[in-house]
Amino acid sequence: MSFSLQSTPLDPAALRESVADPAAGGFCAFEGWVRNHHQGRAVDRLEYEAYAPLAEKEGRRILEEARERFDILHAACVHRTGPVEIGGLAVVVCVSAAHREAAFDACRHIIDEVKARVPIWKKEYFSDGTSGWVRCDHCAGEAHRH
Amino acid sequence: MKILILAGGRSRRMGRDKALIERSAGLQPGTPTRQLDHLLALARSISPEVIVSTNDLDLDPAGAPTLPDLHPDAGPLAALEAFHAAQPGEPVLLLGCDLFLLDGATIRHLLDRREPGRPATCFANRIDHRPEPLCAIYEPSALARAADAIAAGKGCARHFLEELGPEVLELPNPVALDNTNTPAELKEAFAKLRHGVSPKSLRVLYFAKLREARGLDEERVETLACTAAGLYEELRFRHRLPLDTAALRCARNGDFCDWSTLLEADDEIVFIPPVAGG
Repeated sequence: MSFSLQSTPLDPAALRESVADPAAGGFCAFEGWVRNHHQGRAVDRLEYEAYAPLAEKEGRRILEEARERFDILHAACVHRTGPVEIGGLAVVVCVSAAHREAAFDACRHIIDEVKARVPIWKKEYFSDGTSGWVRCDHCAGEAHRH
Repeated sequence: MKILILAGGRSRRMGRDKALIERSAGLQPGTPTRQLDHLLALARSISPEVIVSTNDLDLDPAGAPTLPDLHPDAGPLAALEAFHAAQPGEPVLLLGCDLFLLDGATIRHLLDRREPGRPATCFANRIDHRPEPLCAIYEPSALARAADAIAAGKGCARHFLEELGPEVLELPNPVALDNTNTPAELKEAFAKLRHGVSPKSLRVLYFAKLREARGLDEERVETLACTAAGLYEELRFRHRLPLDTAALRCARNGDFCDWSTLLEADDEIVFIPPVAGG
């Protein structure tokens, strides 16, 4: 179970490799990509900022909780910090399990929890020259345990 | 000097009437009592004439005479206006009911250094040094202006006081006027009462929106706060930070903590804006 931050481009293949297990019949990955729009406005790039010690601690906790809650073998997550261009990878989650149902469920759960709880922030730079800090869309207006 | 206690506030952010909150009674240690009763006892130890400003017919004023507003919902100035209408020519010492740390020595200090030649005598807020309107003496010349201020839509008590050109005193007890608008601030007030007040030096780290607002990644801070909430309130007020505790989480020494977590010297505290990873 590893959660890490890095300021260099993410390597999904390496993360996939890190959850490989001959006992696993199912593998599920999620990739968060930087898209060129948000709420109808054109976005040029994002910048991610993290409170690293707590981000890593809370990220690890999320993965441990997933292992207890879902019948999975391994889970890993890596998150980018710093500027990320359009089309770039912001976050990757990889999960392996004996069976696919737990892999799907755990993968979704992990990214949802990471977005809700981990102290990482992103600033959007819009094409019109303005910028602003994003509130996680998943959490806004939804009850969510913290 | 007549003392007027403001018990008519809406207590919107607290979610319940601040005047009725149970607290330890400073003058009768060990006996829980309503904040209003505590202030009444405090005021009565200083002056025989204590009046409660309220529009609530169900409020038990513990034997004190009550004074309703002429213009309810117009804030503290309405209480001043009503007092002036009832007792023209009289000065008044106004006390907000959410001063959980107010002590008799502070009130006596205010009375001893009253400058009757100025429209008002008050204390400077310990954070921003601006005049504090809810523990202040208002002379009749000042009270006469309350009605006009209300009519002009200028109901802010602080602006009203500043425009009077008051005599401004330094607080002998720096936390005496720390107010309690939210549950987190109430816990801070109780923590100060329970643990006492002493300066602590610690580090605060800022991220994202708070980093930009403060203009710093981190700073060493000396605080009189007991809890994380108290510390944030000091910083928010001093630096006009754009988020309040309802929108933030806090962390102490590398892990999430409660707003009521007690601070210690050399802690590393982080106030966490709404997160947006992924």
